[in-house]
Amino acid sequence: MIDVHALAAAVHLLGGSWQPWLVVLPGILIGLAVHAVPGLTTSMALAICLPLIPYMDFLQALIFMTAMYAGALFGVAIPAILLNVPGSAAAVGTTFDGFPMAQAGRHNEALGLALAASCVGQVIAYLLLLCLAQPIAAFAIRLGPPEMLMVSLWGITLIARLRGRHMARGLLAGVFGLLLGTVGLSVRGAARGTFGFDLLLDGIPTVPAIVGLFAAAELFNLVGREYIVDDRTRRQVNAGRILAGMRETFRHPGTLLRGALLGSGIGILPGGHAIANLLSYSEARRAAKDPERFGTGDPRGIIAAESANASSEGGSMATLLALGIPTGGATAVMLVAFGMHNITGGPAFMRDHADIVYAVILSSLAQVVLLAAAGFGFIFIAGFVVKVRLRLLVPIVLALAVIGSYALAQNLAGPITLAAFAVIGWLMQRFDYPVAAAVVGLLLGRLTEGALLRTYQMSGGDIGFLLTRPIALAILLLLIGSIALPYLRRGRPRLLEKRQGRIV
Amino acid sequence: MQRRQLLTAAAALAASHVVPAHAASWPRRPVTILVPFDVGGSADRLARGFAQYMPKYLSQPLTVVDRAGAGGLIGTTWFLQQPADGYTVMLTPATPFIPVNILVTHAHYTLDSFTFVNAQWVDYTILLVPKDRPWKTAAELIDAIRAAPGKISTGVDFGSVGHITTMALLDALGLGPDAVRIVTFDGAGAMRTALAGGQVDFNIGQAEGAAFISGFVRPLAVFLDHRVPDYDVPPINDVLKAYHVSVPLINGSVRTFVFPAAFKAKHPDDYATFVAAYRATLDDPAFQKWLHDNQMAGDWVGEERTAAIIRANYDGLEKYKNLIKP
Repeated sequence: MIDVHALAAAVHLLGGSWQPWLVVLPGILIGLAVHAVPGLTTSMALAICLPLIPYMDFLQALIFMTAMYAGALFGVAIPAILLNVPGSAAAVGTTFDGFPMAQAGRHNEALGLALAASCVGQVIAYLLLLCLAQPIAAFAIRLGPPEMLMVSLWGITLIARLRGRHMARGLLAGVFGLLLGTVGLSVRGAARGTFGFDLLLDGIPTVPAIVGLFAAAELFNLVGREYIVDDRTRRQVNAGRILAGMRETFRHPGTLLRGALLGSGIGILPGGHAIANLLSYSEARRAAKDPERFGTGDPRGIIAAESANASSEGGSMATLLALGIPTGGATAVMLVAFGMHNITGGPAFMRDHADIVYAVILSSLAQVVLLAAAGFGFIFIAGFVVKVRLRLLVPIVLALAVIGSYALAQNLAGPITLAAFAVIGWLMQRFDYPVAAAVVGLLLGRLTEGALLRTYQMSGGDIGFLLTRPIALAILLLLIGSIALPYLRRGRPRLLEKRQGRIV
Repeated sequence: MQRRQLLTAAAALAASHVVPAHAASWPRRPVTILVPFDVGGSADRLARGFAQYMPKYLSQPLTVVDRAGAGGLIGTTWFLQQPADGYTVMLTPATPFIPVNILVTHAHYTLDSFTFVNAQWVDYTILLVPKDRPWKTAAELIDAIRAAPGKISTGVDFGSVGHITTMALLDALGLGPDAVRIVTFDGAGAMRTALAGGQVDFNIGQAEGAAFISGFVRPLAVFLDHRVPDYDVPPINDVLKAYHVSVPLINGSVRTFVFPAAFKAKHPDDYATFVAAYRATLDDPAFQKWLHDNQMAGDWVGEERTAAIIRANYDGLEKYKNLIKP
């Protein structure tokens, strides 16, 4: 599938001049920094940098943007791990085990795990893209609402796995989240649950709500304590331990590979990258012999979430590069940058500019190496957060989160949502309702509803329509298998489970 | 809110006393361009072009602020809450969004709340089918819909001009809303991706927005009263002559600068200053080249003609709004 001539031309393009490479490091650092502040998004950062694009040549511009993208993909993990603040929906899965690890004084390892998993995920995604860009893209464009429906239903089953100690409370929290997800204008134009507020017409702003539920509620709980990490001796930033975390990643090749492949697959769907991390987490937990360890600071949780998150963008790059069709906000901004250089997208793009497509993929692979180094330096500095007293840290983080939520929503809906959900989150924790289940419901509710409605509209209500969608059927069978398998395996001896799952 | 506006006005008054008498009366400080849609959209990109080229003629910087939400309703509401002093100007696809806000989403403003400066970039509507579908002409598609009602699907961006035009076309042909399967998408981008992938059988939507999927689709008709060089297809009403019916031709996105009506009424000189700077920017060859490079238009049609275009679109949308009730 690789066009060797174009590949050689791409190597020549990249190797012939050092100038395209000048923008890689700034790009990565902007990406990292943007996502370390909850509320700023990649598409926002890309749009802000758009005026710079005409001053670069086309290749340089593309490399600059993909570098920002690479940095941002990992950047979201940092606040998710250290502060329980997911900067976007893509980092929700990382908080489940990341923050418990940080609280236990294993923040160095957690950050190292996330960095290595993110790099490996990106490498696998771009390798797939290098070999199969065109088939992936041709396949991607055939996926529609029915396939999205099956994937998001799969995501919803995660609610049952995040149920915490009480099944009923877990389901209730999940249903509450799903209900919140329906607030606002439906895709059929009906306003629901807005109580007459115009600001709610677009639904509950998800990122401020998630930050409120997760972070604020968790930070309130920390008020009585001195530091995030209780143990004084563990309250340090240690390069060796970060490296140990990075090495630890490779001790779970199965989790890593499953995450990266799941991410690559789900990322192809429009909007799929928001749920890739959740599905991967859910599957890692299901496959584990000791699922009860997940959520208490298990490295496999971070690996699963981060590898899937990092690889999920590969699919959206495939449709952009091979077809010129954006499936997400960030790739839409990149298409605008194409236009600035008089390059129009479409199927002709890959045919006429195969060398540039390969050059972008090769440079993205090289960027991963730089990301590993730059990310290492970045987390080394970010890690010092654990040395800050909570009575300083909590107000600072909350203030930043409020400002970030304002920046994101561009109106008071952001801060108000954050405050309201902080109270809801605190109450839920107080009474042992799993916050994570509500978040998954909120994230997937609207997605699932839209996909269900469109599938129904496309089929005209005819159930036989599903038979014409083999991929949707296949995903449905996988979903049923994933639910049924644990029951089929129940007979296996429990002894095995005890031996697995050793963690650092 | 009123109290805050009074305070702002008082502060502005106080500030005006310290400004030296020789300074130009307006603008004395940077002007904000409000875009009631997300970054990266057509209005946002156009606004950033003005932020780059217009300061030379306005003698003040312009900053772009995006406040997206509810099809422009949230940003537009905020815009009207700002003092009508010209320091906040909106750049938006005024139709269909302002009429749809008013007619469908029950916004607290009317067309008379605004002064529309100039419809500088107007899009039109086009009928597209995925390339792998068998229909080569609009008549073939119409006949296929008539032959098998309820089997053929169309993708629509809910509440858009394309959506309303689709319903008006079905209505004109004497077909009910159930004659086609209507698949509603969140936004035109998602709908176009689905159309390119053949998820739906046809779409009536904006022509220029569809440029990036032109390799995947076949145009069948334009919703204009004349042919256009970009697409070698007949105007829809020529096709419909065979069926002895016609459809209204509603413009797609009409991008224009917008002021609150009160600004022009209270500060006609300041308004004239803005329009002069705006026209000078449009006449700047560097800006026209920028527009061309970005596949945008910068035509001068004037305030009266703009108001007429917007009124005509509003009337068309009002007539057919019941066809798209949720």
